[in-house]
Amino acid sequence: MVKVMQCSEFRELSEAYLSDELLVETNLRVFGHMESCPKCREDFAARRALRSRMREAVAASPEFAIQPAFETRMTARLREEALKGRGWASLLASPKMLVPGFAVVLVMFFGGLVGLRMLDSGSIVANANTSLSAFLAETSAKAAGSHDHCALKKMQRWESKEIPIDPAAEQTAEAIAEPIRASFASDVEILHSHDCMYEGKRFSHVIVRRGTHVLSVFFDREGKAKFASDGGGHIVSEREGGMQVASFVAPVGPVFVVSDLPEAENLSTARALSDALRGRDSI
Amino acid sequence: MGWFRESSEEKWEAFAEEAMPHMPDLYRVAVWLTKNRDEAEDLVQETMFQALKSFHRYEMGTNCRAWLVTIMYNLNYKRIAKLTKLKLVDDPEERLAETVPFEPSVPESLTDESIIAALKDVPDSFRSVVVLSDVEEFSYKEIASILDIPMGTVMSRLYRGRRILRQTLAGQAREYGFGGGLRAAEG
Repeated sequence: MVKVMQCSEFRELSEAYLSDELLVETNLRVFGHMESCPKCREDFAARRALRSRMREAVAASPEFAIQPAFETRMTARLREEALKGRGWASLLASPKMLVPGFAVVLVMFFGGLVGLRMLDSGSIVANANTSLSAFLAETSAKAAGSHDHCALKKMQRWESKEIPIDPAAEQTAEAIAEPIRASFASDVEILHSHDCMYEGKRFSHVIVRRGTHVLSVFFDREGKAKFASDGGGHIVSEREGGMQVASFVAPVGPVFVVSDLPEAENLSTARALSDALRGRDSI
Repeated sequence: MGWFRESSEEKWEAFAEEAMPHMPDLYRVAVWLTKNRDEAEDLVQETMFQALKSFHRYEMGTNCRAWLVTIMYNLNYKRIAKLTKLKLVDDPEERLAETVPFEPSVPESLTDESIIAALKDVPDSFRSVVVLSDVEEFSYKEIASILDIPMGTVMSRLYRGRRILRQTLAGQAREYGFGGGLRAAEG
């Protein structure tokens, strides 16, 4: 049997009823009481009317209306804030953007490498010449806003790849990962391998995770004919946009290693790769 | 490829879709909190930038408006703490509400201005709950989460806040000689 509700209980429950916070069963009891008690019915109607009036009053008041100019300004500033991270620093923070970012850096580096005179002695050459720096600065400003040239950009959006992957790409990826594994005895995983194009130049691009770091390794197969290999003995080190780029010319062609590792570790990775590729005409 | 996170552009698109439409609501709440247009805009700005920064923590499909208002209240607490450099151990407004004696009838002939003025007269901790519940239509559970208080406190503050509001409005009616009020229960 349903307990009859008294006015005191109704007043207690009516606050929650007003906010639509009662269980269905209690709602029915509250409703039942109002049916039989004109005083409580009137009281509740007044409370409900006041509640509606509050909402209407605030909605109609210019004091509580956001200024369109402020809203527009905020939208623009927030958008700028959200997208400003498209620079190199955020590429490091956002692995998804990191990979095409690597591609651009690498490609820029390769372009600059044409004008870079590799030194004859020593295995590590730090600091590229001024014209290369100027080239990198100019190109990075253009490229940082786009990242359109790496096939991975398309893959991130789950679109079909525009560039057919070299059938040898998987073998290439393993050939890359294996010496890195062997040298660092660390958790090494191939994240992806594909071919990508930049201004008509085709690269084989292998992305490897080493521990918590991501490395991109690029091969310029066509460059094999243009650059005589020195057996991978000379490694050029460059820092661009917060990332380390180490490059060398292996028998298979120019190779580039890009990562957010400290310079010494990026170089040692490149060194391990260079040693592994020495004497190999193809991979 | 699940390892890769979304790009900045995708993040912005999601934020623009989920959070940006609530900016007018946030502004309304900010006006209640700051009682000043410029400070309200500052608070909205701070809230939206904080939300953008923390957007990875927002669970898509949940109540984004409640999430944003929660951020706003947290920022507002910090703002007040900076201003006052005081830690409230006891809420004097709780005691004030205990002294509200009864609810006289509320006049029908209320203007929007008088309702807003009466709402502004309700002490802050009660007004917050009344505004969040009756104006912004958040649930008790959402209000409890936004204000970081127990559900029971939400209910008691709402009850007292509404009573204070009705009393203030009835007082205005007496002052200006309004008659024919909407009767409210006494006691």
